[in-house]
Amino acid sequence: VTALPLVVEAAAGIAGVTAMAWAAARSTRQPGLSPQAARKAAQADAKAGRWEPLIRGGWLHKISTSAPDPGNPGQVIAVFTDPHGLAGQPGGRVLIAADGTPDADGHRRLHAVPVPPDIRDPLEAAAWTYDDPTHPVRCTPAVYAALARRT
Amino acid sequence: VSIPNAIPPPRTPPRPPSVLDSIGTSDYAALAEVAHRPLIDHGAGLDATITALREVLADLEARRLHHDDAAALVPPVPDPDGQGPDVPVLDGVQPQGDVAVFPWPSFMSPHIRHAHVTAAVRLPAAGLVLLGSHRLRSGLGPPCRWADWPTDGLPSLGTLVVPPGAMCRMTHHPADPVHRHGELRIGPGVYAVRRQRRYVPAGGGLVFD
Repeated sequence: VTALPLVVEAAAGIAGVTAMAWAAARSTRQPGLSPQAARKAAQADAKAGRWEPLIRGGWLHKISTSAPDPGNPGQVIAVFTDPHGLAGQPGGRVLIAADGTPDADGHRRLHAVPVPPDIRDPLEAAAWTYDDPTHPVRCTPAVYAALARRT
Repeated sequence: VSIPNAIPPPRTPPRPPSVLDSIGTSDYAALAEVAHRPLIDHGAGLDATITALREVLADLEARRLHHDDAAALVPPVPDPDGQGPDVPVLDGVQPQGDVAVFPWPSFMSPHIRHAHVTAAVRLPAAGLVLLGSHRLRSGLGPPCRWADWPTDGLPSLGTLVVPPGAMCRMTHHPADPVHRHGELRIGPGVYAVRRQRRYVPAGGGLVFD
């Protein structure tokens, strides 16, 4: 137990090393990278659409439960905050959803779509991204939940 | 005089004729005519009436179109894009990446819907390309039609009309073929076609894929 926050860095793959932590946060920094370099690498990942390592690395914070993605069997959607502004405005919220079609190599890409800051429910967030308030046909959460198929 | 048997015998035993045989799915005049024909002949007696009603029920049951069966009912479609033959024909909400089709029921804003349906023109044979990578084209039966949504800068792109008996295909042709989305097959109906939007603090934005 330490009185002040302590940064622990360990190279992966060292046998016999176990770390236990209470009230800890996973660092967004990769070991050996300066904060500026880590941020630059994260921005490059975001620009290229590589969201999985960013989520694993703690760059986005999940604020909703994961809901099943309608029309996309086996996949989930969730709402995250984006404190570093990797997808949109710093401090905004993003919907994370998986592609309906896996890539040619079998990998399924994740997408981050910025959503309004008052939306926390993943289904509401997903419906918002396909809604057009000026069109007679709206995409409400109920409409999105009845989605037939996503590719 | 012996008459040669020019007509080969049918492979399956013929089904007894039904009142619904004369109508096709797009033949609304015939449908209306059948709909107004009295099913019950008061002189025929109860047994004959029950038989007639049972026959109609059986026919309706046989013609009921489930979403899962719809793909099996349409003839095989040439598949030059190699997307696989198992793409189901659906009439519900279907997104393909950042573009989605939403069925537009006839009771929903009928005047606006009617205006767009009548303004819709035939899709070009080569297809209509949306957002540079999504291609809409008629897949089967009568040609599908399209009307642009009039206001620029909104997520709505246009109105797609798939006539009865037709099917519309939406294929995806991105610059990087690794990130290609699967094909959609869209059954008869009127659809609002829309792109995905993303939030920007000043107002709604759009996603490019």
